[in-house]
Amino acid sequence: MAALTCTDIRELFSARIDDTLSAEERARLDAHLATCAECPREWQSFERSVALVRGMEPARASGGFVDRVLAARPRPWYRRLGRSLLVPWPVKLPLEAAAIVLVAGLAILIVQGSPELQQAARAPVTPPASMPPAAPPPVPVAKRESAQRTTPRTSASPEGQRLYALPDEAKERASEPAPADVRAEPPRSLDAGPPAGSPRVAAESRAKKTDAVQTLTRQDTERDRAAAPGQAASAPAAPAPTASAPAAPPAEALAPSSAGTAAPAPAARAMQKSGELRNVTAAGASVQARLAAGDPATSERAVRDLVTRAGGRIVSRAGDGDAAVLELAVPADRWDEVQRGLQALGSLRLDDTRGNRTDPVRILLRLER
Amino acid sequence: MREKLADDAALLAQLRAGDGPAFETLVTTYQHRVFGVALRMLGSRAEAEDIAQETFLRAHRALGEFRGEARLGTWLYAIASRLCLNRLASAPRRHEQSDEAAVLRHAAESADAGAVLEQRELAAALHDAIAALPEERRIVVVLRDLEGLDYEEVAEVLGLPLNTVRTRLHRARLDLKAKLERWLP
Repeated sequence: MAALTCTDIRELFSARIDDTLSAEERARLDAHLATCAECPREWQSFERSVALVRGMEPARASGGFVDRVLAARPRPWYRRLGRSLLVPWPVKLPLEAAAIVLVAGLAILIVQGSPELQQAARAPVTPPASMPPAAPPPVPVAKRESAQRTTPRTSASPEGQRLYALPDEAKERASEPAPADVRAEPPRSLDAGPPAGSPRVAAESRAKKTDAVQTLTRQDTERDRAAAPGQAASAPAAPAPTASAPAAPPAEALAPSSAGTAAPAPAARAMQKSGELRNVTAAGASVQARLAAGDPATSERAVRDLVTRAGGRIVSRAGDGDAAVLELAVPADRWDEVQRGLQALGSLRLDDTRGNRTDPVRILLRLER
Repeated sequence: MREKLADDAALLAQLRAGDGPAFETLVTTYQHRVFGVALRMLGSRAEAEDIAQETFLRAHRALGEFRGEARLGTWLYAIASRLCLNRLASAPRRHEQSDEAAVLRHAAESADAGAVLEQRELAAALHDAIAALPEERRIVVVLRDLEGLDYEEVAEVLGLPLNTVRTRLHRARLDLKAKLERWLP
C-alpha cells in the first residue's frame, strides 16, 4: 500500500467528519494525523469550521408566514367566486341585500303595475260628477264582464249606467205602445237634408258626434274585444252590413254591446235623452238575424218578452225608420228556444252564424216589416 | 426516521384528499426549513420569504404529480433549491455581504457584552462566508451542514451524482475554512 500524501489525507477530511470512511481509510487517516506535523492543525481547523457552520442559529420564517401562504393559495373556482361576491362582508353583503330588495320590488311593481297600466290606457274615463248617488260603485271591467256572462241581467243591474245600454227609462218607454219612442227622433242637426230616418241622416248624425263619444265608443269596443278574444279575433272579419240594413253602423263607430263602463259622458247622455239613434255594434255579436214580422214596435215587444223569459236581456237598441235593430244577449242554452220563438213571431232569417259562440249568445236582430 | 416517514405518508394522504388543514400542517411543519435554505442561498429575508412562499404554492399545485417516493421534506427542498438557483441565475448579483449578515453585524456593533459581540460577529462572518461560496457549492453545504440531509438526499434534491455531491461539499468546506480563518484555532 502506497503512502498517502498530506493532500490525499486532507481530501478525506469531509468524509471523516460525515463518518463515511471505510475502516481502512479511517485507519490510514488516523495514522497520518499521528505522524504529520501540519495535517493535525489543518484537521482541527477544518473540523472547527464545519462545527461553526453547523452551529449556526436556524433561520426562522417571520410570524404570519403561514397565513400569507394560505391566503395566497389558489382556491377552488367556487370559493373564488364566493369570495369575490361576498368579501368584504361588511361592504358587499349590505349592497347585495339592497340590490336584491330593489330588484324584487321592481319586479313586483312591474308585474302588478302592467295590467293596471294597460287597463288605464284603455279606459281613462272617470265617472262624472253627476252620477246618481244610488248607483253602485264601479266594478272592475273583468269582474263585471264575467258577472254578465254568468248571470242574467236584471233591471236592478248597473247596466243602466252604461253608455250604450238601454237606460231604465228607455226600457220603460220601450215597453209602451207608442211607436214614437221606439223610433228615433231626427238628429239635432243644422242641415235640413234628407229625412231623419234615412240611412244618410243616420250616417251624418254619427259623423257629427263629439270626439268624446267616439273616443268612448272605441274604448268600449276595444274593451269588448279584450274581454272576448274569440270575438275580437273574428270581429274584423265580420261581413259588412248589407245595404238593406241601414242601421248597421260602420265598424269604427260601433257601440259596445255588453261591456259596462262608467256612467255615460254628458254628450252621450244628451244623445240618449234626445232619442237620437244609438249605434249598435256588430263586432261583438255572434249571430246576425232579420225578423220580418209586421209592425216593428209590436214585434219588438214580443222579442223583449221572449228574451226576458229566456233569461236574456236587450243589450242595446237602435231605430232606423221602419226598422229597429236590437242587440240581444241570450244564455247559450236558451238560444235555441229563443230562436224558435223568433221563428214563431215571423219570418226569421239568420244572416250570419258564427261558429265560436259565446255564452251568452250575442244576437244582432233587425226587425223589419 | 420511520416515524417521520409515517407522518409524511399520513400528511400526504390528507393533502391528496384535498384536506385544507393538511396543507396548513405542511406549511407549518416545513416553513422554517424551506425559508432557511432560501435565506442562506439568497441572503435576503424578503427574497427568502418570497421563494419560500412560492415553494409551498408550487407544491400545492403539484401535489397530484408527487409520487410519494421521496419524503415530503426532500421534495420541498428540491423545489426551493431549484427556485433559488433559478433566481440567482436570472439576475447578476453582487458578491457583497448579505442583508442578513449586515443585520447581524449591525446587531453586533450595538451589543454591549463582549461574548455577545463576538457571537454576532461570528454569525455575520458565517453568513458572509456562505454567501461568498459559488452557488453550486453553497446549496450543497446548506443542505448538508445546515439542513442535515445526508449525501443521498442531497444528491436526490439536486439531481446530482453522489460523488459530485461529495466533491462539491468538500470544496465548499475548504472555502469556508479559509474564510473563517480568524475564528479557527
